[in-house]
Amino acid sequence: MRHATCVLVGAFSLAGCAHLQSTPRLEEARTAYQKAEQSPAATASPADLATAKKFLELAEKGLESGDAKLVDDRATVAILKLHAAEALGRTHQLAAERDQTLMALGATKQRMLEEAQQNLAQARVELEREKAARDAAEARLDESRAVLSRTTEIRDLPEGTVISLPGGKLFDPGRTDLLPGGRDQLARVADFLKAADRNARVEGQPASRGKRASAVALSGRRAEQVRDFLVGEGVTAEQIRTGSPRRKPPRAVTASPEFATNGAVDIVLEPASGGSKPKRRP
Amino acid sequence: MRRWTAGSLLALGCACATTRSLPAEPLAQAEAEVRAAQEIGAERVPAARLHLQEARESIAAARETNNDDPDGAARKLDIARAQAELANALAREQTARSEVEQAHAQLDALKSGRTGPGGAP
Repeated sequence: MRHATCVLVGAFSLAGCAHLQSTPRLEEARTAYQKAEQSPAATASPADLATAKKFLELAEKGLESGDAKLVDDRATVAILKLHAAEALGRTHQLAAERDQTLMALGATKQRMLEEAQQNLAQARVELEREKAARDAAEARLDESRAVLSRTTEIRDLPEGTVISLPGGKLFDPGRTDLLPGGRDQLARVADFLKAADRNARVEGQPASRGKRASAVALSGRRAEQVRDFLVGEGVTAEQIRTGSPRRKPPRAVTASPEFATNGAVDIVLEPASGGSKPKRRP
Repeated sequence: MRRWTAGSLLALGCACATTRSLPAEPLAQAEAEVRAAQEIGAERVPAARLHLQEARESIAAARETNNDDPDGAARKLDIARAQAELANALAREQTARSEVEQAHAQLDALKSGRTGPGGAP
């Protein structure tokens, strides 16, 4: 009886001191720790990793007790701490990425702002340059018109600015060759047209005496002669063309006795605001 | 002999009626972590919500098992705290992720010309 009791006590003692080798949960914790050591958690949250290690060590120590439940509970805490440390590591990485992106955002905004300011400044310079060029062109136009108006009749009509030149100042009767005085006058007209930089039309006004058909033909040839001369003076060919007269010359022209025999030439400068776009000189 | 028997029964009855308290500090720490996770918005993040729920369940389980297994109950509190900490960390991660996505969206929108330099859409 005494022998049997000793055997039983010995058996219970051995069972109580049974040393566990490991548990699946502890294996999982070990693997998770090795993985976490290589993750951003190692640098981002070393304190959490250290806490996880402490619980892992407690779990390892728990093996000595042979209590698998104790080992698993401590391993579970270790695993949870490791996962938290990894999450914190990822959070640190995300925060760094966010800061970097916000910096790029700020830099992009600044660059765009600077570009917009540069474009604005450039546009202002361009605007001022264009305005100066426009003012200068208008000044040249006014000046050339003033020069021209001293010797020539100029009228502002709805169809445009009409410069009327008596035929006798430009041509000998029945001829199409320009007189020297006519050339001088047409040179001033050319200056005016160049300054205006708008489309123009040369119209021959036929003489009132003589045969109508021949007078019309002569006035047409004279209009072409005048246009060619103006082009030779620098007016672009695209800017000027010839056409039939659409109005009577002014009284100052028709009152001249030579109009009846020599006709006249009108040069019509189209209005600035209209359907036709001015032709630029090269 | 009769007196001794009565006294023993009385003592046994008192012992059965007594409810052992959970260790105050671990319990407070676990509950504080649960509150912190709630406040940071862990309920709105699916993975975090799961761990938060598990933390609550672990605290409840610790209360239930405390009388029979106080050591096991204390370990359950450790687990509860760790689960709440993980919920907290996952919620923070999600917040950081959202901020990164928002910053990228703003940058992309700016680069594609959908917003002005002020950032307004």
